[in-house]
Amino acid sequence: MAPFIEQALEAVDERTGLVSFVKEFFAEDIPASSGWHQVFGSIAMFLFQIQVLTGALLALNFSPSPPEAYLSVQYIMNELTAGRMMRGLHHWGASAMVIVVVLHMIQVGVWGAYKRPREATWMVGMVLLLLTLGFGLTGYLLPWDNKAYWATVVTTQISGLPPIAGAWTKEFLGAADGTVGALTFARFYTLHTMLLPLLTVGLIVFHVILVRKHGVAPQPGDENKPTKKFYPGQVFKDTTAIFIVFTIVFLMAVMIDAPLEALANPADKEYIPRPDWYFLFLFQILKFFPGVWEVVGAVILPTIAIVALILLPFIDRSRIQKVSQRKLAMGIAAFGVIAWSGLTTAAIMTTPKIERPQATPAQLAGAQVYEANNCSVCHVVNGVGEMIGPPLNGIGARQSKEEITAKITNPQGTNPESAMPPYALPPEELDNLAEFLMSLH
Amino acid sequence: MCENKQAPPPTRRTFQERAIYVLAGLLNGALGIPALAYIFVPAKGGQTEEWLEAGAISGLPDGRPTEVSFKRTRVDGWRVTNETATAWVIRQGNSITAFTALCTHLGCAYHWDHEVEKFECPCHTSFFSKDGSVETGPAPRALDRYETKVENGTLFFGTVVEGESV
Repeated sequence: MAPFIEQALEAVDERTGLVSFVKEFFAEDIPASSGWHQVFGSIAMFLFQIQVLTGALLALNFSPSPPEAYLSVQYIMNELTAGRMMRGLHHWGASAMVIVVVLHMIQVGVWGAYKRPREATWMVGMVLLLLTLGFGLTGYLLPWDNKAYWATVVTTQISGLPPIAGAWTKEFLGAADGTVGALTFARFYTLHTMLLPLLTVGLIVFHVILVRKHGVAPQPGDENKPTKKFYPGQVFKDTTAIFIVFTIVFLMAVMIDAPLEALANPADKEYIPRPDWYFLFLFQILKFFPGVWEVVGAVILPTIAIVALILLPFIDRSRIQKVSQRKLAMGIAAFGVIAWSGLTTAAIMTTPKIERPQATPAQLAGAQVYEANNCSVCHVVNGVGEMIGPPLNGIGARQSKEEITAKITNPQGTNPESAMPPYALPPEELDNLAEFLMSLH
Repeated sequence: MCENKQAPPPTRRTFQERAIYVLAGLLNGALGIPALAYIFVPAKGGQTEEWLEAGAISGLPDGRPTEVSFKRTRVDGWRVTNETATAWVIRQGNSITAFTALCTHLGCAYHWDHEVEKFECPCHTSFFSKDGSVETGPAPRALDRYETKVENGTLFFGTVVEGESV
């Protein structure tokens, strides 16, 4: 290193201690048994950083209010360079984060690394897992498409199931009347972009401080072997694992568009809502509990499971064993994974295909033109949309097809005060759109 | 090959250190370059280039600047709106000049002062003469103009042409 850089670093260190802090952080002693199985925490931390970065970038071009939220997501996807990639990274990165955080929990659980004195580290980690799922739940609503809308209707209904606390939760989520709209959107957005990130950053710092305080959990036999340094051996393993996961998420972001369905439509009675894949098992469990027993499947069982996991270090108080001898822990983990896979598969298999009522091909194509141009931002059709412009049901009885097409191409032609922008649609699309509008009763 | 058995082989340590920097560099590039493009490359859609109708020229007094309002479609990110805009138009015989409505200094709306026969910006007191050139004040260039054309007695505005620098 050049002498002036060394001098600069020394000057910074003398005043802040940052340089020594980083040096000490990387010079940590870790047990001889540590290795590839401990990369998950670092990957989770990295994925969280990706979410923060891409989340902030998405927010730069996001209108956090329905229905414009949907338009701004379309804008990000279609108009902005790398917009698809940023949303893809955020979307697939979220799924990757759920997987990695769960793998991190399974690794720590199977190795028994939660045992005394590391109980607090485990419990903070469990809260971080719940926060990760909370991000998924609240982020789901923000694109304001049909999937977002209907899945959140179900979510807010479930949140209202527990006695007393349920009513408060629904009130807090702005869904006291059972509907999802601007209020719920604002609550979810605030949770997703302010409260949850602040909490998560704080708890990650606390989690890492605890890991450093207690050191990486040793295995029996480590006491007789010399310790290793965190840098470069383990940092190399962590970086390699991070790079592999990043490559997968990056390729998915580039090759598979994050889904964006039609604009949220509360009148769409044919829509079959399904949660994101990592919540499908909970959704499937709900089916086993009819009527009054629903609260058992929706609230009581998950709560018991979560509390049991949080209190695991106090339930299993046996001494630290070699991982190869922890047969019961492996069995429970394997059972958990198999049960989860089974429930998820069952949920996917039992999802019926959506069947739409018959309409003429021109009307169907017209409905797509209506959706593609987001007419419901200003018009109401079948009770859906905003009242900025006139509602369109029954327009066929009042106006001819020619009058309708004229109004779409040049709204100011008949009414100079009209705030509607002119739409220069291709003739075929214009004709289909008019056919669709004429068919509305 | 002779290697020191006590310390970890230096070649492996060097390899690991290099790999860390290379992988971290690739990762930052793969994230950073698209992120910069996302922020700084302009959006694909944009203002449509077309002539905007600004009313009949018969209503314009000869030689006196008049504020004319017209409709235009504005693309603002994901929002497309139809809005009313204004311009200062001067008809002198058959020649028509149309200035955009905002001062070239810092974008305030200026007005025609009948008494002194000048365009006056109230923000930082820039004065422009009738032909748009800067007379006094901090404005860096003459008033911007619209390209204009007249068809069947109707005035149309085209693209904006920047005024000459002082």
